Amino acid sequence: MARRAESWSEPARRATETLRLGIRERFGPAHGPDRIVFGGGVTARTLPAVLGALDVDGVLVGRASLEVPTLLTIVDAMAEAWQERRAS
Amino acid sequence: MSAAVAFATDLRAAVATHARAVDIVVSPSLVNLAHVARLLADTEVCVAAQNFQRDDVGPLHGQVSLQELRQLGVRYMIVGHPELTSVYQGETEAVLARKIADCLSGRISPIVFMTDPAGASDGALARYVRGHVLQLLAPAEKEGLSLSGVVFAYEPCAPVADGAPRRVLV
Repeated sequence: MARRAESWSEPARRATETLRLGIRERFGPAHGPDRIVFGGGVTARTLPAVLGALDVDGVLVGRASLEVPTLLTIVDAMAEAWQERRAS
Repeated sequence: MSAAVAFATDLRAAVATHARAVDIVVSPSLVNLAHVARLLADTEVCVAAQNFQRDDVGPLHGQVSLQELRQLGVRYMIVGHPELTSVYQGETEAVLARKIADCLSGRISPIVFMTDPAGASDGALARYVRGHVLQLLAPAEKEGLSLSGVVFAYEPCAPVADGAPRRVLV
């Protein structure tokens, strides 16, 4: 499990941070795109690892979104994560 | 009833029970888009289209315009999906940049795909972001369009779950 996580989390963290920094440098803090979402194997099970590893504003859910209850599990987990981020 | 319409019907009922503090966007196939958009029209769920035809190339057989999609209530547009950029249609960076500007001009938020070059150094990654990814916004910026509607969707070469590595968007 840990080896699998290592295969995506560090490159993904570097890429999303580089993108966010590039946006800020080019457009300024208030004028550029301000939302970065992550896609790639996001499920209710992998979501905590994704949100724990990456500073992203949302997720792009593929196959795991095809059933409404599963999708809403992910949506509710996202909402909870935002609340925790705002509170911290 | 198609699976997409059944899904939208279930989703409509589910989101009606309580509001959620996140944006939900669904992206059905073109065949189901009109029906799904109608079902979700007065809910918190937004609809994205998977592709559109640029206005500047004229009417193309079997394609759908941004204006038509906007009339259906589409609020988001997927731009630069790896399957379209590499496999089927060979969309170039110039085409993607034009599509992003068209979306923003039509008050539709583009969801722009980005995949990092596999194994790139920090410097190479920064050059890729500055020289390729952010350059996709250049026409929109030049036209004075607000870029705040742009959403970047990052997909890693190695997905979180098991599966084949994603293609690199260049």
